[in-house]
Amino acid sequence: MNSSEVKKWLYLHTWTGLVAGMALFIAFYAGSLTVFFHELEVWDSYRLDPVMEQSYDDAQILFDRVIQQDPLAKPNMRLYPSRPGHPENIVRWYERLENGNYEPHEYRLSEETKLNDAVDNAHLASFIYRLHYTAGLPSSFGIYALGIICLIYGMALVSGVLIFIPNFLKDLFIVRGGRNKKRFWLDAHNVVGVLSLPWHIMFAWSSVVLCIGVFFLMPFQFLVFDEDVQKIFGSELGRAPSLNASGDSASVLPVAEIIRVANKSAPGISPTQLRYTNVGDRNGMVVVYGTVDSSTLSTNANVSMNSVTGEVLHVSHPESASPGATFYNGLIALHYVSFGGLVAKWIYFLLGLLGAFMFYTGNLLWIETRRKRRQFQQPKWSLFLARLNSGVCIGCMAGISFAFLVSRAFSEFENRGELTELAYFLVFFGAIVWSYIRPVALGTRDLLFVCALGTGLIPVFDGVFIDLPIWLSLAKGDWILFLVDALAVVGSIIFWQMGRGVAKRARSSDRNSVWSYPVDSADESAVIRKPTFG
Amino acid sequence: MLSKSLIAVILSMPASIVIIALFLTVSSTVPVLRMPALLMVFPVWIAMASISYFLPSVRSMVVTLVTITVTAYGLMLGAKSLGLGYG
Repeated sequence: MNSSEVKKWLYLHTWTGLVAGMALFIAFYAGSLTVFFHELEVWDSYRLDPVMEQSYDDAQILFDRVIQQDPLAKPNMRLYPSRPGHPENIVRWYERLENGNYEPHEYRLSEETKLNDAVDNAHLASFIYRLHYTAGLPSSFGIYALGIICLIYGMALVSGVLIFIPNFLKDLFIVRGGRNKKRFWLDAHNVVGVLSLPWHIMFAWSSVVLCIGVFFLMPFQFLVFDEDVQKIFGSELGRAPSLNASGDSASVLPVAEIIRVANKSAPGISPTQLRYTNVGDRNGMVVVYGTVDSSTLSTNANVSMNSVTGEVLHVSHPESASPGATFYNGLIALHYVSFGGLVAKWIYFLLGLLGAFMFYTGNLLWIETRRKRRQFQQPKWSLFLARLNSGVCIGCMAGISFAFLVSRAFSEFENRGELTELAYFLVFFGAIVWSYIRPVALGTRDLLFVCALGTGLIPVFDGVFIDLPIWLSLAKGDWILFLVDALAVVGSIIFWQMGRGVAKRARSSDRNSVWSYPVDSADESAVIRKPTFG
Repeated sequence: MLSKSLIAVILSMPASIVIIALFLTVSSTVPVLRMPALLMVFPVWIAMASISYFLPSVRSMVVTLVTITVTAYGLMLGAKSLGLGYG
């Protein structure tokens, strides 16, 4: 490939990176935390008086009481049986409102076997997960926007590899430090990008399938298939067609019996959800979702049955799935790291952070490439991107840390979820505004220190609000709380060091850079001149 | 370069879809290939968009991608008229 061709690919890599980079930073940073979704839920829902693990008999009592007290739940309700980490049985159903939204209804059984209809106010894990697939945009279109971003991400990966190929053997595994910052960021960007390339390809691919896959199906409905495409692939992916209500009433099988029938059809299934439709009707149906041991990547199985007779209507098991379903479920399992246990989760966590680092360094590289070394005033677009990059990326990290704090501090409030989201968005947009009103280096340094502060306060808040300082969670063997707190301490130190690094570079390096303090002396208190645009 | 990028990204999309549709039509006797073929839309689209960058000009890019789309669509209709497909 000659230099003009490399230049073409570089152009493609640049625009795709600039368009997609910051949204992908948020998706990857939030995604690396979402890997520990269950652990985040446990941290967020921590109670001083732990609930004893409830039994299937308790689930039956709960089910019967909900049906009695709230008959509107009958057409479509879900029972989440207790399991390790989730000691309570929960019943949920969603009421469709006139404006098209859904209002959740949630029931638990108290220790006095009374029905508790308070909706769980712990939303931190689900909020971070939503950030992962919407980047903070409204859910109605955020997921589709991220799908398109992932298409662009695919182009960025291909072009990045093609640019790197001519120097593949020479540059792989090399990170050159020193005064040439552009070289340093390029090497760091390349090493991370090339070594984690297969993982990034999988992520781009599976994300497109998950976010906008349904739009890819549409043209095939017109071009190829006469039958409803969703019906064809729904059954291949293990979705049984639903039964129509008969209008004749009949009693539903006990929960324990339904699980026994499911176990017979899918041996070893560990139920996570029983989804009922038309409860109390002779044609009522229940689908038991759960996980099984499997030799494939996917561990998800489900058994559909008549909820009155127990007649099994459909079984979806990874061992008996079609090659297409195995391919699809494998891709999705790779995305959600539903294999490999904790080791795989930690690897994904680190790769997620490295991915976020790669998008951040890509933007830094763009800024360094356009740096004017012989003049103080830097190009306006370099300043603009430097500010936006710091505001969005560091603002996202700081916002998530403060969401942790608010969720812990307001755990007794009914609107805790809204407050958690408000904290994130206030910090996020505040960071963007801050990065535009301060000189780049000062703004970036400040935001990193805010990140360090917010993250460092997480273990402090655990000590203050739930009386569980980090040493006590270690002594009590509350590993999830201990690990969250320990990671917060490590994260805080790293953010602090990064802030110091930015300050050091600003004081000591070449003045002609967006990363230098806008003064002739290195004394920060003497800041009198801001870099001007243009 | 911007026009070239947009054309590569946009025109390679219908080309990829029609190529997969052609494959689905001619392989309709092997339904087990349906889902893997549909899952290949993204990699094929990325490959098409990337390969089209090797073409020297915007004009040649447009001509090539449109020709691929029209030819694949024609072949698919031909295959359907021979009794292949899911109809």
